Amino acid sequence: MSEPLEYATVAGLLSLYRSRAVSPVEVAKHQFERIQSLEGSLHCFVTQTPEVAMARARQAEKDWQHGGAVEQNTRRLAGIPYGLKDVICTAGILTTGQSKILEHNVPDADAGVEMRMKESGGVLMGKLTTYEFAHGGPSWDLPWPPAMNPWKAGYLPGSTSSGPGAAVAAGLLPAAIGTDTGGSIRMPAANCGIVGVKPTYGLISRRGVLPNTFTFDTCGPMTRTVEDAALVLGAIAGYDDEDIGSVYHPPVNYLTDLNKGVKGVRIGWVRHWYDGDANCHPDVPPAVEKALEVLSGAGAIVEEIRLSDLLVYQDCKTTISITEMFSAYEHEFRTRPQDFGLMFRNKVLSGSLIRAEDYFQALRQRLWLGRELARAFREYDVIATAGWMTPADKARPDKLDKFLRPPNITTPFNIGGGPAMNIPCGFSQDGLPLSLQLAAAHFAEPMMFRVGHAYQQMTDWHTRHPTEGLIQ
Amino acid sequence: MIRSFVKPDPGAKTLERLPQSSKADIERMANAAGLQLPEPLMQELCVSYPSFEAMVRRLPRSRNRFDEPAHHLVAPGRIDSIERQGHQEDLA
Repeated sequence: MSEPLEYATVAGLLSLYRSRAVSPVEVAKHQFERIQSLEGSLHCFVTQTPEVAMARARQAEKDWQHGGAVEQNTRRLAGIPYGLKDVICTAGILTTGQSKILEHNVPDADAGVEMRMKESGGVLMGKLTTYEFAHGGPSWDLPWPPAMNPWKAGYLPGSTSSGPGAAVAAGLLPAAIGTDTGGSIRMPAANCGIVGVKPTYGLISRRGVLPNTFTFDTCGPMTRTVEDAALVLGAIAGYDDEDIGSVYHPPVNYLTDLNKGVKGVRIGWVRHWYDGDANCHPDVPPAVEKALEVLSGAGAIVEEIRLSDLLVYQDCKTTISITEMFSAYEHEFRTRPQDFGLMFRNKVLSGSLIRAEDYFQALRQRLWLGRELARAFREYDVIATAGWMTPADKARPDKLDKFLRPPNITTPFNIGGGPAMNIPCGFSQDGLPLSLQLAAAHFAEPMMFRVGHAYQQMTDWHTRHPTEGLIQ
Repeated sequence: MIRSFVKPDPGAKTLERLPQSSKADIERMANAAGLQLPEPLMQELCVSYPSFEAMVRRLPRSRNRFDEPAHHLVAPGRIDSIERQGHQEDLA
């Protein structure tokens, strides 16, 4: 075993279980010991679930002893520890949305995505830190502290799937499930040096997931390798009649195309979104360019393309988002607005003043921009750009986040609705992770994984682990 | 040559020319929306809203009348299905 156990990948753990080198119970215990030693500084968990985890780990041990269910893929993640962002409901387990509003909320039913993780044999280790209702910035006036970045003490892990990002990067978990409405899986993946996947809208059930923006919300895997993301996506993807946004799509084995390489794959490179932008860190463009050189060297055809400016995408997305978000939490805004954190209030309360005609103009713009992306995907298998504009930000409890951040480079693919993924592609001069973003047409996850996996086979960024921010 | 997929925007007209809403305007709109905010929260809204107002006013406004909004067409069968589930929950 080349990696320490805490950094074993999902695929690696399955292989270890298959060979009986280690058992799910041993792994769960080992991971909880690591969580205990680091949680005091990283704050990745809102709730830890050791009793649930050990019961599931014992069941997974039986699965592996009998073999059949695992090999037939019905328990394809048997014994894999994972965590859920704390906006994903869990029966009998506290689900807070990191908000005082739901501080004592214990749902009576599992979310659809948790049902699938449980059925697949995954071992739930706990509920992971987010921003309030998966929106805003890290608020310092909530009942739980924000997660911190394991790569450097005093730095943030990125957007709202912050606990999942930090936990996977720090080797507390090999996999986590986050949610992505405008980049909330991909940004922490970028800032924590891991893989984060926003799947096609409708591919994974949103039933039982506390809403951010109904028409953009997706759940997705956060892992350390593309192969692991493909494994987890295979377990959680599928139609759910109880999610009105769910789309029926025939089951796909996301591992089938992984090793096909990139020879002849056409990649449209959107450089103008980040290169030359005032908000872009100088270390980002060379890292992305170098990553594309690697892919080009392996036979991919990389051509620079132009799409609408990020601000155009951002205005459209945020108008829709704050309107839908206010509608989701309108009752609480009318009855106990002071119980929301300052950051959430500041970013969502304005949604109450958006007129219907403004919302519909944004929806018309959304279709227009979606068509732009569809035209690009007719010509290119994958679109590539920076995963995020900057390395991780410093934690600034004294500083109010801007009402409107500079445009997110992740948002266009939420507008388009297709899959997008961030993978590590280097480090800043300060030693913080940088990221490459890959996106594909609707339901073209296999092509996106194929390109990402090929890149990871030719580089070693995903095998590096943090040390500096791991204060015990 | 960089290939562009951006189509000329037929709705280039925006509402950016309008003056920013005053504090009194924002308080009136919030009251009209039925919000009863404690004074400190109303002040927060008055500070944050202008950024969002500017954003909304950048949206294109003169689209062709046949440009439909992106929305998720929900087949009647799906609505029936959700309704049946709700009915069963009511019975339970």
